[in-house]
Amino acid sequence: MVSTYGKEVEEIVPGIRSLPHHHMVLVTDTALDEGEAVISLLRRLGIRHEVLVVDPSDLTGSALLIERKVQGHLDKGWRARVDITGGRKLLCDAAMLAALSTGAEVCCFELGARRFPLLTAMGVREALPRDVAEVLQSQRWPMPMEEVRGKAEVDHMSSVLRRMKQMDLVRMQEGCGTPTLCLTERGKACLDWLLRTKELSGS
Amino acid sequence: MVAILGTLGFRANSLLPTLESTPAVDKVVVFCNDHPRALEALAEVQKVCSIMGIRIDRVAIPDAFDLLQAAKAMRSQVRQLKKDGDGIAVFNIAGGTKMMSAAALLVCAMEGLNSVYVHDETYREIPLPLLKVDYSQLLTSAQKEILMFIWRNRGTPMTQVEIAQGIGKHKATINHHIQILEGKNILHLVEDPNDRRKKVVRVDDALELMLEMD
Repeated sequence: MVSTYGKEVEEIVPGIRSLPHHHMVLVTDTALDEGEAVISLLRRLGIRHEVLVVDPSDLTGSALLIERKVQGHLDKGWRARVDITGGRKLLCDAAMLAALSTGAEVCCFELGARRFPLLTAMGVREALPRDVAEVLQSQRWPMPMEEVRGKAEVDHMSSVLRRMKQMDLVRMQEGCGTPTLCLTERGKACLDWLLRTKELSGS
Repeated sequence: MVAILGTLGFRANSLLPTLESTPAVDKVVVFCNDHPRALEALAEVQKVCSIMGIRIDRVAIPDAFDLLQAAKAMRSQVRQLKKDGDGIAVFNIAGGTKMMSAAALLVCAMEGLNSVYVHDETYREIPLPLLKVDYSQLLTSAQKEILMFIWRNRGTPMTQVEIAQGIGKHKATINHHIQILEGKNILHLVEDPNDRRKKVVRVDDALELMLEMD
């Protein structure tokens, strides 16, 4: 069970009480020392646990770290649940992004129990076709239109670029200079996600 | 017409940066509940919209803690806007309860909308790396048929044999698909409360939203 955690021990109690778990990952934006009430409670209950500290100023980075943690457990054949009851909303949104990506069940116990299953394989990694991801990462953006035309002829990239436009990853920009094909905000966010994933996996 | 959508809680500041950063906005659709502080924040957004000449529509979310209900209301609004030919520039998911924000994220993924988060301390906009996800496209027609059957009969928990008989397919075929669907987290095999020797298939209410059966 991956639970977002703020300051109050009570935030994780409903999840512990109502959901089966063998291991708990506490996601927090501040380091927790061994003397913290929540750590002491988990130890006394005999719950195997670890703490994942994320940077609250970096939503995407936080989501990526949580995603990797969830995926790591799924890869071991475990079932993963994400409890978003505790902590600030940014933590919850980062955890939600990770859950969307991995297909983990999302739970919230803020006001009664709410559980929401998501389907697996829904993240940027899965939803982005391999050839699109490759072009997104390998090209220099923005790309002047002349270069786009050249690549479309030589590298047979036109269909990939067309799909990227349909996915709202790139758009034409016609300023005062040469028209260029540039990344949209979504394109930039997806590229950022891909690059950070690569960096985290050390490849 | 260009519209932006936003969840709203107690702070108008979670939404206002998107009004400023999105070019040529004609309309803002705000999702918020009836809490007096949420209505105060709404009044502030309305005031800014009035100054900027932007139309504002409010969609009330009666239970800000019900993810499914909030997601349904949001998706219905998105579809109405698309039907009316309005372009949706972005969905700001920063305001409201955690469940509202999570519901908005889900709708953005299902409808392929651009989404943005506004940091609660810096008020900086953060575009989110979300792509369109069509849950129904992930399933084969046989899997959809099985799920439809289970959904229609959800009041009566059934075993895999009963499902096979109900659909008129071989038990092995149904078992195979149910195993795949269980792996995808779409359904669960649970003990029959009336007969602990049997396992029945259970689906969650969320299926209605994900497979567009609503």
